[in-house]
Amino acid sequence: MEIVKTENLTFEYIRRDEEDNVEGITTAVDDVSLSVEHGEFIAILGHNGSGKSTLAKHINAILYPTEGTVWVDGNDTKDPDKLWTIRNTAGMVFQNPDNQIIGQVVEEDVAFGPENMGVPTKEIWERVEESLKVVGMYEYRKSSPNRLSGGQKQRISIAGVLAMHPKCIVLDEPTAMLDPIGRKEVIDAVRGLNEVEKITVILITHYMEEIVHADRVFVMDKGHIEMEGTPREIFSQVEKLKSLRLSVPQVTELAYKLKKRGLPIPDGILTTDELTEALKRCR
Amino acid sequence: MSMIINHVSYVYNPGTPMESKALNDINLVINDGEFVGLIGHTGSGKSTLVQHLNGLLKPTSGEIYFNGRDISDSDFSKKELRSRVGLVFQYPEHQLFEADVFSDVCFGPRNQGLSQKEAELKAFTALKQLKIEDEYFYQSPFDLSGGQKRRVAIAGVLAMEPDILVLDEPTAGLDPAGRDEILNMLNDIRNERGCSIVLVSHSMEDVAEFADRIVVMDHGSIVFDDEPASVFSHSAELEKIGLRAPEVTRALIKLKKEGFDVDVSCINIETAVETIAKCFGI
Amino acid sequence: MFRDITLGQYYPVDSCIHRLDPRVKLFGTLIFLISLFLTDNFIGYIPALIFLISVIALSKVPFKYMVKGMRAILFLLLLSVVCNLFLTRGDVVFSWWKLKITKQGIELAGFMAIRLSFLVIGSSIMTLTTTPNQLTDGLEKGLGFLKIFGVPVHEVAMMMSIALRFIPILVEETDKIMKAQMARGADFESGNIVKKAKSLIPLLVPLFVSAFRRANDLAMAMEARGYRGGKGRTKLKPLKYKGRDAVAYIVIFAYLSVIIALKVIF
Repeated sequence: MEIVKTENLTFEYIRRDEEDNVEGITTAVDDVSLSVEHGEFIAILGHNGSGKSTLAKHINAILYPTEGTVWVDGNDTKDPDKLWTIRNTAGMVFQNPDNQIIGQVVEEDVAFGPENMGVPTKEIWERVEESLKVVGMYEYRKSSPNRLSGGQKQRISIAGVLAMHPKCIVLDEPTAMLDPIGRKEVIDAVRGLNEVEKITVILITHYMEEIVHADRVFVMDKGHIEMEGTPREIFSQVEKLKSLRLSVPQVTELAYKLKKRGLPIPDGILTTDELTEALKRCR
Repeated sequence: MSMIINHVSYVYNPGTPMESKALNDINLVINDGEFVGLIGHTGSGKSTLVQHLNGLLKPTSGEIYFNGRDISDSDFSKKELRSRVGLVFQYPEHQLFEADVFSDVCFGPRNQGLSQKEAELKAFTALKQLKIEDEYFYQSPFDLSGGQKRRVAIAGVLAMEPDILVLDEPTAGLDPAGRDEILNMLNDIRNERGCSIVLVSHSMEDVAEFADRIVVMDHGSIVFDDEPASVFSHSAELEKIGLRAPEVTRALIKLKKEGFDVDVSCINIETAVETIAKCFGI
Repeated sequence: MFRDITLGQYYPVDSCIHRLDPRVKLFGTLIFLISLFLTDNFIGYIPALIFLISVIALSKVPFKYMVKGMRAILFLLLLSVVCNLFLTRGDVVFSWWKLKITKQGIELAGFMAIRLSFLVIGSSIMTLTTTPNQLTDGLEKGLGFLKIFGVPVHEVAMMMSIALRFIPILVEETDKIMKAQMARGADFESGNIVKKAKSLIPLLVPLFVSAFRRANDLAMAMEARGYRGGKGRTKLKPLKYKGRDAVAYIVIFAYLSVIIALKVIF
């Protein structure tokens, strides 16, 4: 059974003006059908306003589909009896690190999820320790979150979700507000979740270099899924990505343009090493 | 309208246990109409430095001269300085407050003591330059998209017609297209208005295209201050302080090592394509 | 200017007072405050003074931190002393122009000064030795019985704890917005009260917009982490009474008895 499956998922919201009159209807997610297998690393890519965050919030049952259905581990998100099961199965990390940390001490924040689930005290301590170790923040367990860097705060948020022992973690642009160092810390932690902890990861982002390690990539535009494939397949379509307000890593674009100039270079070059090797073969 | 920063140091919370040195003997000149990229990672002191440029922070030691006058002189009005040196903070959309976009952009010019009419004229020009369409002028700024809010907020400072426009990470959180739009607009603003631009960023790619000069900061000191290509040639040193030359430059350096006769001073994709193509005689 | 505010100025050191259950400390503080108002003569303050000094000594918090709390109420203290000193009728000891100082005035002024000082020091011992978190936990559990009367104890405690977490963030944000508006020529300092109040709009609007946004985000994040009120929640650090808490309760009751006994005798 798939961990996440959506069928014809559509989400609309009604825009109202100041007098509460309906101004129009916006379709944020438009007829999306996708399925994610256990243990996969999925990236959802799209420009600001492409509907990727709205889609993500359906997986945690924060939003409900206007039409269509979302199943998380076989449970329909519209079923009120399954709400808490779903939220414990699919954890969620948000964009702004400050706005999702509840505790005033790192370890207390990580404990928040398990506390809500009614986990016995002794086990909460075990889970807090184990989760903080996974994201490499164990030594900061007694710190105040306010003293941490953005990347560290996001890793705390990831640990907080991890402590709930979810099967799947959805990360909604977790790196959008971070500097390159913070971004790397978070992406490394996310890869660890997937590769070591075997947790299904759904990463929402608009940074191309973050999707390189994904098993599959979905590219969204205007609420639709416009492209689907492995990172290499996606990256080989430079023009299409640009038309979707996205970009490719500089080296990919360089390779693509050299290919257009007539050099026999394969599609979807992702690193400078790959480019060097490809060019050596051209000699 | 040049700005000279002369041996400036700054210490946060001096004389307390929280004391920390944020700037260490900074010397920097910003010339007329120059596009300067100020690069460094979080905590390198770049945000502290830019707050000195318009007098929000006072140097612990050293002086800053704007047009030959010391900005800490008692007869140099802070108000004048702030309208000459426009500072746009990170996430400038958090400063929007008026009921409609147009009034919000008028706020700066009005504070300069201009009449409503003059202020509106400047606001109009600024909004046009940031490519905000007329239809949004009388909407609430809170209803705009993220990228639009960002542009309106920048217009709010630009409307004061500063001689130097300083922007602290203006592209943070924007998607690639939104990022390119802002960078291109900034370059246009520089070309059309002739003002200097100081762009603070932690990404070399952001500034490679347009900057005349790149200033690299680390631990409160300036490490490099040179033309982009010269700065990027110090690829190894940059990596040591947690920064990286743009990917094109790194690719060219690697190719050169492998024996390709490429010009490593190419800093954008177009010129890099040319120099590689030349190696293959095409 | 906002950086100077230190809320819940916890002093991190390990002492037997620090280790006490927050409920004991809350109760102890309450009893101490009541005792101050029960006492109406100087003799009654002797046990209060002994109690206070021993707690301060046991807490290992430097005395100057207690005095720091006094600074905030210095004006209030002076006002009360001056008022009592000059406005109390009785046997005149000293008079100058229209001002008269009476014997009763001196007594009352001294009395009020002691009462106020004890009050402030007494309550600051609690905040100095208890983290804001323990304090909210203590309130939540200590006042848990109020739930029967429909008081949302858990919710209030949660709100307090969230407020404490967000105060530093909002303080920093205020500072940022202020600077950003100052860069646009805003002036927060000059002008009369009306002008000053008006100049706050460019600061307050973005601050409120941001605070609401944060509240919204936080609510979503809490829900996503399975928060659904206090029911069925367990705790990472549950409050449990230990032997020392029982001892502390005995000491508190003994102190209260002494105060009541003195009140009855004198």
